[in-house]
Amino acid sequence: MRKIIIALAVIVGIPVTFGVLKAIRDHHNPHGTRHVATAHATARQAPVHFPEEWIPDAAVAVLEIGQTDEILNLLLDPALSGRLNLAPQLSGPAKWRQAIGTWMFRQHFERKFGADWQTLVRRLVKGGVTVAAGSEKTFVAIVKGDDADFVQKLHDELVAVAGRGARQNPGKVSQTPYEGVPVWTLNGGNTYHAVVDGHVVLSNKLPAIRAVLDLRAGKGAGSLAKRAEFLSAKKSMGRDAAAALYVSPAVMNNLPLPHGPQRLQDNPMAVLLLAAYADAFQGDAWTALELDCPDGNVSLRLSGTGKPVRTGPKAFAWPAADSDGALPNLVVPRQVANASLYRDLRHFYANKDALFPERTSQLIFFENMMGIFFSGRDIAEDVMGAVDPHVRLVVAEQAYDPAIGTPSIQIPAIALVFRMRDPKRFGIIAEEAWQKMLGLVNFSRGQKAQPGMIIDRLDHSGVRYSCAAFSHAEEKDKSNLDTRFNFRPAIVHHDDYLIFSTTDGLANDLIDALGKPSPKAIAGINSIVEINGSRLASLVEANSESMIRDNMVKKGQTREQAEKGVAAIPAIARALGAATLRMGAPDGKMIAELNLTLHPPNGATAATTSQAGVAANE
Amino acid sequence: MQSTPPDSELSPDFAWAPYRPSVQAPWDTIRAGHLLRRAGAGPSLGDLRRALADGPAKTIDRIFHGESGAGAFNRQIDDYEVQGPNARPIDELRGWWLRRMIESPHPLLERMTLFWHGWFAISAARIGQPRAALDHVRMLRANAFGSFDAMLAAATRDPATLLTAEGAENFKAKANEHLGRQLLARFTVGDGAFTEADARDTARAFTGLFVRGGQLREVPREHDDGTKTILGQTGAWSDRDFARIAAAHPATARRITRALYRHIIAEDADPSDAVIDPLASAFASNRNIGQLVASMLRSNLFFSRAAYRRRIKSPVEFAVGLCRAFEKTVPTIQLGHALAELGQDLYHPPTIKGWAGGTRWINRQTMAGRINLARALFLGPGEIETRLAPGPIMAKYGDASPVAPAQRLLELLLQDNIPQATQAAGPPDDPAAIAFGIASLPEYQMA
Repeated sequence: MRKIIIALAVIVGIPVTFGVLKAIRDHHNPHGTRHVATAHATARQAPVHFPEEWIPDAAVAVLEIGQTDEILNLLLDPALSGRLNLAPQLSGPAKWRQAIGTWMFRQHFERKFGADWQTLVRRLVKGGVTVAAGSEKTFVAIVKGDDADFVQKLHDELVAVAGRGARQNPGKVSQTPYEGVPVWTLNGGNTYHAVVDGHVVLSNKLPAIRAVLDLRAGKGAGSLAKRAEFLSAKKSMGRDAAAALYVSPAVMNNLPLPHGPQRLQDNPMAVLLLAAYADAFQGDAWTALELDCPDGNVSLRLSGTGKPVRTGPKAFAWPAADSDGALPNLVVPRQVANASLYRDLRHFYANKDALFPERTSQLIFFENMMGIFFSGRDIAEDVMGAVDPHVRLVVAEQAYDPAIGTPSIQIPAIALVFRMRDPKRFGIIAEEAWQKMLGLVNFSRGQKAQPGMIIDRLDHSGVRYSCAAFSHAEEKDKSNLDTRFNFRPAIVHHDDYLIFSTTDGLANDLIDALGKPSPKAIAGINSIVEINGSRLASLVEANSESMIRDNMVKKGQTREQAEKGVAAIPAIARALGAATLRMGAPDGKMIAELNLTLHPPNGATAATTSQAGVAANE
Repeated sequence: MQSTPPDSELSPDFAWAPYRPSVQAPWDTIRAGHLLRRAGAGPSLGDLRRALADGPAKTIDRIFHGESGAGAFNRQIDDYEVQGPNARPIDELRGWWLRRMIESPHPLLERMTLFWHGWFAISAARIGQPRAALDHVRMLRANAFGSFDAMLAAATRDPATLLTAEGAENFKAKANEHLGRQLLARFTVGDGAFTEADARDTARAFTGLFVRGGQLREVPREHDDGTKTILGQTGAWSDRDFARIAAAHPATARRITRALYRHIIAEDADPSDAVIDPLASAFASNRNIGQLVASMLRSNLFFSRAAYRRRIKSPVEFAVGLCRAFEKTVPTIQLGHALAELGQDLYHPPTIKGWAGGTRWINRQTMAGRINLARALFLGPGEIETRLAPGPIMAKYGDASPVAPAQRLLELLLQDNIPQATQAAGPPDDPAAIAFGIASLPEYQMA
């Protein structure tokens, strides 16, 4: 079962991968010619009727590709080949594309039908592709051509060519009629296919293809088209998605998710981030994943039939009012990633015994530390309850002060931004806790004969705040500093906001960002994560030497292999452009939406996406 | 070779005379394999065939000097081991050292560095600072073939040594007698060759030395500059004087010679003083480690039945030998974990006496562990992802030796015949399965 779902995921993943590769090409050729593929992208095909009434209801996963041109534009772009070499890990799709060409016996078919092989493939799948997976590694694929006569002629020619190739082995190519339809094998029984009503039906199992033909003839067991759960999932989808994957609960409930319900209880952070969704996508209903390629970008939308749980221990992720939700992300310079969450931390912590029946060592450690830092206070009411549920996280590349120097490993700055309910009271409580924590860190480092941090008061735009830093007075090589120089932790209370930042530089940028008008929450969305591929690539490149060395000893690679592997990461990250994940229940139904902006206009990034979000809500 | 050595092979005159190939003791695959196992970890087929062609003298010269490019190779790995001003974390340092052993053009250097690591037995867990542990191993490598005087002088001022020996603070008012005993008992003359007074005055010689922030710090006001008597010599000795006196002491020479004998020649029986004394005397006079090792490797004794298969491979020798045989690096961080499970955790000797070695390497559990490691290396799946590939290596050397893969693998890994019972079982078809089978044999565990 897992293999089947992985295979389907790969099928869905190919267009994404090629979209990425396409962006790699464009990144390296920003002023170059636009390719044929892009020209195709403007013409959208008419809605397709998928032959679900031919698919047995035993199917556990179904992939339907309606906008075959959009997918093929990405798959068959000839200019991609050169860029594939940038990322050796992606050479698989290149081989796959080459295999298509070989399979079509390119020259022969091009000559015979008077068209290039890409056009032949486009015509063959023009009417849509349906792939269904069942138990025991069974699959059925149904492809509809743009013209029944063309499909029949193409098939006849293929049989003729295969027959000539199998003269020494006559059993390899054979046909047996079933329900009045010839069922062919061209490879001695590895696969079977039939051509019927302009469709090519292909399967790896003969009984499966017979089941399809039975359903077509109005016989046999039930079809997918009559399965209510499937139809319900299908109804939740956009009607003209480029492709859609439907997965039955039999598959979803067996997925080895790293944070599946069984594992969630062991990890408080996973519970905080994912518990709100875990139940929504694992239950009795089919799950639908929609793929679109708007303007050459990629959009994936996962729909579940679960609903927000607004009572009980897991209610911490859902606002009481439908109009509430996560705030738009903050925007700072050199931003790598940001996240905005709606999480009621008071509710979360007050229900910890229900959420984590097992008292793990990490939870006990956390409670002990919080007890020390906030001594004499109730953690749920006086600490967690002192901040409102709008929590934002910002990750940004650092701009190192030349007077201090640059560490050999560059760690991005990270900041958490909370909004305080009673800033005058809680600001000083948080400051005291922060200084206690630094004291503990300095004490622990002192025990190991390591340097400690010095706490100072800084000023930015009239906001005074505390920052701690390591002394750099005795550092000789400023270009090769120790990792500790990535950290200059700061705490800022500015108006209603409380900022915990790993650097004063990011704290300053956040003071500037928070000085702008406060945006409205995004209704129904309780998690937004954005990643800027270019910045991520830049960060990887800054640390590439360290990563290469890691791969050499961790994977046993040669230096050359490790260099190639690491070089692929920024290439892929840049190709992603900007990635945005939004999760929530905007219309009362659970969704998870991933948008890959492969072609950010004029170098725009995830940051500008955030700004747009702010503008839209103001 | 027969399993029982005749008495004549153990007579000092015969034992330490240079080996000359003869009809009775020909220079053959068996002796070439023996030399390359003991001087490194295990040969590749290319190493083995070149050694056969070159003869023992030229091969031993090459073993001592290393292949061309050894210096550049070591400088490159030296660079990989650090990150900025600091060393990489200790499990990565362990991984880099294993990688160095697997790929080094100078395997004897790594073998000797490992020997000295066991001798001084610093523990990264006690030191707490990877950089100090790394610097210690580099010091061992730099002095591995040189003068023991220089080695001891460097080791006794090394923060890693002092931290492991609980000698990080040496106040004049309270000399660290524990350190004095450690220096005498572990690094030099050994138990029974010194008195409590020697230990007390050795401790006084080290007063004024402190480890601060992982660095050695000399505080002159804390040094006791009074007269001390150490191992029968009296003067206003400092730590450097201790190193000179202790290194030149005959008991130190005898201990080191015996330890190297176990490391290079045989560990199944304690050699008599008559066998050891000629080499120990020479070492006591010049403290030249390289010369001592060369005397052993070039000797009749080394190529005799008294030495052949008379050592049990340590876990590191076992795994590194397989990787070198098949000319492939594996993920060495994971390999380091696996070897720690088998009892040899680099940078973490189990006690202040280092690894006991010998029969302590093998018990029911570690033998099963070795078989599992060999399975993971050849057949997978396991903690180590990369597979050794005997097939391509056999194909690489196939033209030169038109024999069946099983025989060629035996030539590579064992050189001599496997037991009849094992032969009767017949080899499997897959070269990887054959290699796994050979590596799992009791015979393969013997160096």
